[in-house]
Amino acid sequence: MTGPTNNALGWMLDEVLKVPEARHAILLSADGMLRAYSKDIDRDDAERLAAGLSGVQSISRSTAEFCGTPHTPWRQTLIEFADGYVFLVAAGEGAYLAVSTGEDVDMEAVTYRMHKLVDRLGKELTSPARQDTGSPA
Amino acid sequence: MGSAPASEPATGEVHLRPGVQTAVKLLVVGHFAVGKTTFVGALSEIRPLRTEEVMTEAGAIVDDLAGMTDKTTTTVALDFGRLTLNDRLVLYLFGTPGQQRFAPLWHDMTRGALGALVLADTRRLGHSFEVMGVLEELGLPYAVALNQFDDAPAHELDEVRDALDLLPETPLVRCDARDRVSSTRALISLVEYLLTRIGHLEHT
Repeated sequence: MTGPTNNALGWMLDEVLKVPEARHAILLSADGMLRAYSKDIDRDDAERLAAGLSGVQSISRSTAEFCGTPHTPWRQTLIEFADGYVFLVAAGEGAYLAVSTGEDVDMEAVTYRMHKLVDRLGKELTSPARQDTGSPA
Repeated sequence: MGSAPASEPATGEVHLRPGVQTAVKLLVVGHFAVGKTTFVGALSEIRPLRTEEVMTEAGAIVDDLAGMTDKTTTTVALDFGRLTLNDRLVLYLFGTPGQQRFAPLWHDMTRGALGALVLADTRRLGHSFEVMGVLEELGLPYAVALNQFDDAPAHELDEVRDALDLLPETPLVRCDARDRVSSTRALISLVEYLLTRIGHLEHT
């Protein structure tokens, strides 16, 4: 059992949205629970997306054998829509980071920013944020 | 625990109450066509996640539809919904696909889950053994809810308990997956069972 996210790391996710065309960002745990979300996405929507994205990761990973080696580590899933993209990458042990963008985004810039963010999140997650500051989400 | 179902309607924007302190992840499992998607959809206070696809002829050999004349779609990934039980406790419901070919996915979904509700159908009780077997292998505690289909035979719960070979402490209840109140009661029976196993509710 855990507490629902207080979105203490939400401000860090907003950083990745500085890339032109980037829309939203979500940090989720491998078990499909929402950990943090960027400022312009509704919390209920973010929770539903976190569950769905955990399924996307799981299903993506299950296709490793199709790539030739069943145990090759999963790194990223890219989903393309008519109106844009969803990028899903590993964010340390048991966590994933997802970013949605418009169709004209610089894909290299997004993935670069995402990996920078994952590095910073890693540092933040290894020294947990204080729970007695600010107000709950 | 004496929890009443939250009074909010199943649709519309319902935000998580600020005081909620404990989040519990639960699985809703069961064999093909037992009503898992309906159950999660009836309960969720937010718009549920659904991953239904139209069933194709290719699946007709393995997916038994006997007695399921209205079923045209099946879940291929997962269902998700959220239910705030009371001022302290929020449940996150993850529904699994029913077919064996999706088993690797639902093993992943058990990660972080505290327990599972097994939906069962009295017309095909035997189909539930495989699911219960997997849960027992994983050590995930569960309760069983009989989804009351309109044309299903109504057996006594004791008979069903014998037929499913349940442990004496495993909760067994009836529910109607289309009905929010009855489905909430089924979940509460699971949560109460989990809490007695844990001994106390963590206050963090």
